[in-house]
Amino acid sequence: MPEKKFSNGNKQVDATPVKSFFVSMLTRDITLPYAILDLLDNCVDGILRTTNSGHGNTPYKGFKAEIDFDKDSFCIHDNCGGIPWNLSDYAFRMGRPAGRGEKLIGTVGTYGIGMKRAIFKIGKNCSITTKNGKDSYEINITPKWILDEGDWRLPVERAKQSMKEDGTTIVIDKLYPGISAQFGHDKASFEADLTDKIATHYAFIIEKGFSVYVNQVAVKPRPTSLLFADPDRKTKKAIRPFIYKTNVDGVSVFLTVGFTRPIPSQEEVQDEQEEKKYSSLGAGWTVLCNDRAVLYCDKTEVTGWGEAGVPNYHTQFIAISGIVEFISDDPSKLPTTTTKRGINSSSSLYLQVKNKMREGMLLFTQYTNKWKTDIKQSKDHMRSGRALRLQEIKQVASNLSFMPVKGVIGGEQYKPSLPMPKPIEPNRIRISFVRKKHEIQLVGTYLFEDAEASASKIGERCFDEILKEAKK
Amino acid sequence: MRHPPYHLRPNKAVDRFLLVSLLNVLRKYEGVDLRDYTYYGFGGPFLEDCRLLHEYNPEIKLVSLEHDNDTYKRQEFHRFSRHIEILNNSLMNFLTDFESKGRDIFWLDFTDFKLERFNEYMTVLNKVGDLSIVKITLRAQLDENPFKREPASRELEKDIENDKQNYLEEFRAKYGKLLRRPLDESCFSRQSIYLQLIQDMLRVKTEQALPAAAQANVFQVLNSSFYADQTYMLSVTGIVCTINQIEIIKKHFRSWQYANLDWKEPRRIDVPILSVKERLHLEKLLPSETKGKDLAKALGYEIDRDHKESQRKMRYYNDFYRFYPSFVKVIF
Repeated sequence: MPEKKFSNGNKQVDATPVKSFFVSMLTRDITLPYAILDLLDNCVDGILRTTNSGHGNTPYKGFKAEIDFDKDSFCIHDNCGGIPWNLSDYAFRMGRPAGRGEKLIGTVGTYGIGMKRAIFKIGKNCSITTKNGKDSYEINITPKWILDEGDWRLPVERAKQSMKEDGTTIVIDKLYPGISAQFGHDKASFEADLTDKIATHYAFIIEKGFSVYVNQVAVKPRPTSLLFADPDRKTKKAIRPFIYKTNVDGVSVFLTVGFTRPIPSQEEVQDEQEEKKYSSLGAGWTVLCNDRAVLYCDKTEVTGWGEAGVPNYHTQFIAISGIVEFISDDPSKLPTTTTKRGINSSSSLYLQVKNKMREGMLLFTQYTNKWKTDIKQSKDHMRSGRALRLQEIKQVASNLSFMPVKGVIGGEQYKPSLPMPKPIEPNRIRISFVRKKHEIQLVGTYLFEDAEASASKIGERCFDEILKEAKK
Repeated sequence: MRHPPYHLRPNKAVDRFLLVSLLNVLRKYEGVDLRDYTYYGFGGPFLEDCRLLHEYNPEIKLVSLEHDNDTYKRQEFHRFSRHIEILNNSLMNFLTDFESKGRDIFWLDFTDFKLERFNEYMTVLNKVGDLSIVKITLRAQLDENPFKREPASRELEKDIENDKQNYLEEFRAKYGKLLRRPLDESCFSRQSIYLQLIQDMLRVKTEQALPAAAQANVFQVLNSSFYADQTYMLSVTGIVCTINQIEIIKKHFRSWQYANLDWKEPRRIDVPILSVKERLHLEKLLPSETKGKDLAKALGYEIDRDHKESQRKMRYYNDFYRFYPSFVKVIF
């Protein structure tokens, strides 16, 4: 590094940040949909500042964010309380200044880069207009400001247009060519991708009352639901999820894992592998930090797959899904990364919780392995199950018998007793064979008037018919 | 293998002619020579599409793909030219080894609606060169589903509500990554919205295959049509080009009567069944200056269930009369 001698005689190196680091480098760490989710996070933080609570069933009701984009511009407008003037330094500084006195309940932002990184990712020119009570102001980030390495101040102006409600409007134009292409020519696929991300990562927040619109269309939440047999009764052997909960150092943890649907037949597994029928979209672990999904349907070692006795994810486990919820008033205690869309895998809290994730998951991988040869019976087990969402599972959990858990993070757990098959009778033999597809379709049409009838159904019927004949 | 009588379906015939018409416009595009093009289609037992293309554009090389062995033999029986290449192969097997030699015209004329069709379509888009034409036809019939069912009793109402949720979940599980907007009841209760849903899914898949953000080739839609000879089918046709060519291509095709350059609502093809005598009678009034009203009047009787429907059909006849097929009975 070059050494410089300053007027006071000390030898020093220049460590001041350069804007291009924030504009060109930091923006590479995040994809465009996730950058937009960062802007939504700010909306939710605004709600929490306004209501000072994230508790209750619908703490976000009445609040909304509208996202609109085309090849020339991007706009996000919300009614989530705006940015109070006393927080403007925090909101617009690159990074979070130390010793910020204000305590925010239930946010996920700890680093102070989300909004700026999203803006720099999208375009070169931006105006942010906000109204919070009597505070109503506008800040502009211009291409000239971005290029000027010496000027880190942003002029504040009185808002040109008065806003009806407290909230914030961010308008970005002079879009980067790649972004303009995604918002313009690739608009449909980007809308599909963004809507999907919001519907899954924001499922729990939208369910709690928040409304999000993408180009004027309301996003519908897609939360994970787990099958829960006879939730109102004490049942010995039944399909129910595993549940674990604890409270450690100001972080409350609720974990549940189970089945979202009946376990798949061999044909479904094959179709899935050939991408013919199902996608494994709904399988895997979703990790929530203060209501935001920081991981959605993960099927890797990050969430315990392929570790400590749990098999690697395979399409036969398409029915297994889990949710872990971390809630804390202090976002720095949450096990998330700077992008807020990933897990800090070295977090000791997360590593401890991951043990319980694996323990719960193992119950359901074992069930799947034991029943995969008798799908029909397994489907009967599932039939009595009601699909319950996280909030409903929490309510039902209050009536269940939990056992205390020993260990560093303590807590308590509910371990369901899943139905297990009797050992396979030695005189039962599996038949499996391969025939031409069009011949199977022909027989399917002959037997069921359905050329698309499943091969196993056709095979079983053929055998049963001939068995009847043979017994005559 | 059983085949529907495609060759006797007037709306399907119009859809085939639309491709011929499109190629006539493409022919005049700067730098295009149809001799550089090879057509790949699923000719069916009688090779109808290949036959038509050969009749109007004999300079285009023809390849027919057929995975079924007997249909393949039947195609060989109906071979109308030495030059057509008839392959007994499935589309995906063919595409695995396919290397574009020049410019291509693919017609993925599917008769069903499956996730794998979208993936095959994507593979084609990724394999063809610039200024290639890709046309895809998918089944777009709104089948019986819980959204079309009326509950007979209160108890059943709950069951149907569950069925509706399961139906949506099932559709989402299969096609979630292709959905531009959230699914709702109207998608499965109204045919027009279902057609739009499928067109949107094709658009999403197209953009996923050829994203403009990649700064390579993109897809410019040229036509989108639907018809129902018995079952609703949706056909989308477009051209693979660079992003810089889009405006020039749009300008070139703008005057084409059947152009849909912005993924607008698909155009309906719904020509009436007319006898040769009726068609000859109407010939002198074509093209109609009154959007087919004078045609309906000229016959002096209704050709469909009521006046409005008859007029509507005549409007489509006016739109597509040049492509109307002639089915002639020949006695040997």
